[in-house]
Amino acid sequence: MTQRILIVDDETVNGQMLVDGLGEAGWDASAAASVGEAITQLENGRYAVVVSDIRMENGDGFDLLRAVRARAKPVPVILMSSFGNEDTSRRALSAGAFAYIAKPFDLEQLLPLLDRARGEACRSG
Amino acid sequence: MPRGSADAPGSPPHALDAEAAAAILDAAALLVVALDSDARILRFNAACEQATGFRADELIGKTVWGLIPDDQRADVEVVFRELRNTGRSSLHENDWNTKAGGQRRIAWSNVAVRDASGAIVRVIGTGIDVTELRAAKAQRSASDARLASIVHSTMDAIVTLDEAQRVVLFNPAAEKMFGRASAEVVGRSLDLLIPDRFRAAHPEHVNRFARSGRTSRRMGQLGRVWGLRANGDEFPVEAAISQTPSENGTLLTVILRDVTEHERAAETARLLASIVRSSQDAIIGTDLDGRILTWNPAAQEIYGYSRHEAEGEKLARLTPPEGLAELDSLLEKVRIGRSVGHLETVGLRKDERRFDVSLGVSPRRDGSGTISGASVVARDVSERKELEKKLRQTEELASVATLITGIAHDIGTPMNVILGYTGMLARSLSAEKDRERLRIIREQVERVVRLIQTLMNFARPQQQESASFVRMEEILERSLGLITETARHRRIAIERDFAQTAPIRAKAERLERAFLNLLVNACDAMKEGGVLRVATTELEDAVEIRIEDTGTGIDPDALERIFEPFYTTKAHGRGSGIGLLVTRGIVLEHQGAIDVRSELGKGTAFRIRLPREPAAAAGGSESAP
Repeated sequence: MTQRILIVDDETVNGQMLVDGLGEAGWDASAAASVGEAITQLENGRYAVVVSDIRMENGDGFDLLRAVRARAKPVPVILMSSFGNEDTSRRALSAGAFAYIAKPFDLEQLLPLLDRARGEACRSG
Repeated sequence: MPRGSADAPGSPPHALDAEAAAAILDAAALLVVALDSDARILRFNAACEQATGFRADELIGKTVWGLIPDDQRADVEVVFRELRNTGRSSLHENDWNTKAGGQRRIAWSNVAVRDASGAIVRVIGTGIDVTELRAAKAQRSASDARLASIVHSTMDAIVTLDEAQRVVLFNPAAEKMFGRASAEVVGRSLDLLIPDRFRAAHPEHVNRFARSGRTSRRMGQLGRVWGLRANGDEFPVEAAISQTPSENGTLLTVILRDVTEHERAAETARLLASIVRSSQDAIIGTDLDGRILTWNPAAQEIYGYSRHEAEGEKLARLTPPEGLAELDSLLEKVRIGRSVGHLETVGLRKDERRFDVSLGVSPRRDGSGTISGASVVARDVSERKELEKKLRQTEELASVATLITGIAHDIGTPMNVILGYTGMLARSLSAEKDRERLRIIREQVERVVRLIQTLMNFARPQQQESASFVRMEEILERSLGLITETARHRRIAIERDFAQTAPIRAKAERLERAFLNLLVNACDAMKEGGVLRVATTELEDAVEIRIEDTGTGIDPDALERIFEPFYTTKAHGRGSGIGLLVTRGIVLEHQGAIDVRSELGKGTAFRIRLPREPAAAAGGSESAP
């Protein structure tokens, strides 16, 4: 059972922060700076969870979500965006995201979501 | 016996008989003058004296020519010679000069008197003074000529009928009106001029009039009558009828006026009058000095003056003092024939209230085209102006919202990075001092986050909350609950003056936020304590909420700007400058209105009005209580 997690954000500083923080929390996290990069990495390795920003320069988090869900073994995707609201949250969940979290957040808020997502991934695959 | 006794030529002379006859004629007040063969006057009777003013003894022995006006003398001489030479009696009319310098018209019957030898020795003229008779006749013929000329030239058609209702006179106006020549109509039946459907009834009408014994009926008394033109067109006419006896029986004269144009004009006038009456715009007629001549019901509605009060007053009454110069220049334009449309200015009501008005002013011309006054159309546009203002505000808010959303998106990620790394740092630092400093950093970041979150809430006015029926007092209580601690701490007394208003459709949480912003501001304005008064009032179609403090007040310059985004009077770092913006945004979402009065050192009063029936539902799905 892998603890690998893929962080997708075109703002690499945020991606790097999450990689650092999650690493301290015991996750094997890596970052991708675009949807395309993320898909390549997903094809080349097994991940338990994907955490992706919604608004990015080249393609958004919903595109990635669709691509992931189209795979034979979908990985849970947590979407995040700046100052989102209930509306964004509802859109994310109805598109099939495992969870939604608005930036800025504390790592303490993200960790329980990741644990739950990992559990989900175990059950489904 | 004006012709006298004709003496057949060759009959024996009867001088004495003639004398006797002259005496008789004399007595009959006829003029009798006897002349010898040289036209010298032998006899000049009393009637002659009376007619001329000459006494007989002044003229006897003189020729008659002195009595004849010069221009007639030649004619009279011919008559005289004819009679003297042939003895044939004759009739002749000529003037005699009077002693006073005038003339008398005398109709003469002249006979010759022969002596025993048969020679003509005298001429006797027997005359009647016809001066007055002739004058009257002359007058009559002049009057006849005048009448004929009137009949000929009048604009009214004149048709005269005989007893059998055949046309005997058909004047040029009738020719024009009916499109038929007089020659074509005269002698034919009146039917020719009447539409089919009236033919049966018409002669009966005319006959009834003839029998009625009345001599005339004025225009209009006959009611509506229709005429028929040669081309088959029917046209409405007004008719007057009169009857006069004549040698050939009673003649009926009908005077007809084609009222097609008149009716059309009357119809137009009625239509215009009804438009003016029912118009929503004030329509005011004035003279060139701006004195009000006409005043429609909408004018009363808009300006508050009754017609009675307004007519005779000047337009200046409807204009505030600062608008008078503009009014003068308007009237000046009208005087030179120019119109002004859609001028947006300020009107003044009877109750002295000012309102936004759109004016159209144009010159009014009389029948001859001379500018006689002004027509003023005034529309109360205050409601539209108010809507425009609200729309502008909404648009401003929308653009601010767009801006905020953009900024928030860009701020979210850096904040996330700061929170993330400071969180990690907090876990790894062991020195208490460093951890405290980090705590302060995170606290400040959270403050920024809260501010952005507030902005975002404002930027998404149609957020998920749906409208339901709520009582304003309950919402105010919820907002008040959040500041109770602060108020007690600052020794602020809270007074409630709540009416039991009926619930209105509103978004409770949004309003709670809106009220809270005002309550917080009020508390902030009363650092040294004071009274916070919260009141509700039931209005006809709205609920009014007032939040008043006895704090520092807002100076007039600031008061104008307090609803602007990011404007704050609070110390740097204390106020975001969006509290009131949010409040106003929420009030506008509910299609309400907010205003503020404030006095430095006395306090500030906000007033919010929320309509009971917003024009469009305040959004969201409905949920009844």
